[in-house]
Amino acid sequence: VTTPRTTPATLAPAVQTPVPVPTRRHPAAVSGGS
Amino acid sequence: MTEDWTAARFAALGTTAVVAVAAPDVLDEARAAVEAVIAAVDIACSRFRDDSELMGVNRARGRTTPVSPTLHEALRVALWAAAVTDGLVDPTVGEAVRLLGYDRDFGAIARLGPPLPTRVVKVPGWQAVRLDDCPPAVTVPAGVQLDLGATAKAWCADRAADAAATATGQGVLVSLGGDIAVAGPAPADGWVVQLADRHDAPADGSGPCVAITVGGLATSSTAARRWWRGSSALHHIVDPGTGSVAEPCWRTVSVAAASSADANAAATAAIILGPAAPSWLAGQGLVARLVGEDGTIETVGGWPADRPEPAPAGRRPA
Repeated sequence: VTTPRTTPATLAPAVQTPVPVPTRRHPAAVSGGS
Repeated sequence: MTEDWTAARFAALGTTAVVAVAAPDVLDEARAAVEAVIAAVDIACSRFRDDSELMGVNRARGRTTPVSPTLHEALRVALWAAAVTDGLVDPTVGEAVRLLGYDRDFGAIARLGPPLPTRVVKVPGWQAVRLDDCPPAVTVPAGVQLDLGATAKAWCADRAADAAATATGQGVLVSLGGDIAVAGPAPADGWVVQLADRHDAPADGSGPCVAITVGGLATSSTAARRWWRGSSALHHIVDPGTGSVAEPCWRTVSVAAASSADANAAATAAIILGPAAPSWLAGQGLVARLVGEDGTIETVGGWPADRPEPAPAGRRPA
């Protein structure tokens, strides 16, 4: 029994920072609230 | 401009799913893999299906309930998110969410209604949930209602992207209501993602856009899933500390992380945390973009600045 099993209790950061893209590239998806 | 990907869009989990692939000929195969993952997560984790495993757990009145590997993993992720956010993202908010009026699929909720009676709801806290590994089972105290809405969708996006990339051998992006995961080799210049308050905004490049190549990007916003009871504007992000909606501070928070589950846990926690969110996110080593209620933008951890808005036609910049 494990109560509760939550390790490792860390958030894993991005391997690469997002990079800005020019306007002429069409987005594949929108990230927004849902 | 011709893009180096193709995509399918369809309804899933009470929201919109997008599957994009870097090789057009594998789109159907990728979509099938994603839909299989979504179907398994829906029957395991839905709070709006009487036949879901989660509803069985919520009806168990304190009895230990055997669970499938899918629900076990979803519960493990929910409890992990609670631990890593120090309880800001807590799956035991189910009853509080229900009392706020979010008691059915969001599409069926009346957007306007009479004022809610004043009630003080104590959120039991994630530590009250016991998750067993062998055999997989969960025990929830009687009266506690679990809601995996804060974690299951992003985690599902991670699983679905991995499954589709494995099935096709190609790069895949999966968005479930704006919680985005990518897997496999990305297009040459990365997957372009537009940021918005709502995931159903037109994907037309009219908002800020960033490119990612690995991991996940998720956005939480108080501008989505809103309804009114009397003069009170309510939304789906509940502060476990109060049992009510998070106090206004950040309207929308986007986070990039190693997975969509990580990104979404951080973004939701930031909304609840309020003014302390930027320093908390920085302390976690995360990159994020926060939009205040007044539209001001703050970035953390090297998130790029939004490109300047184009000058209106006929006017030159000063």
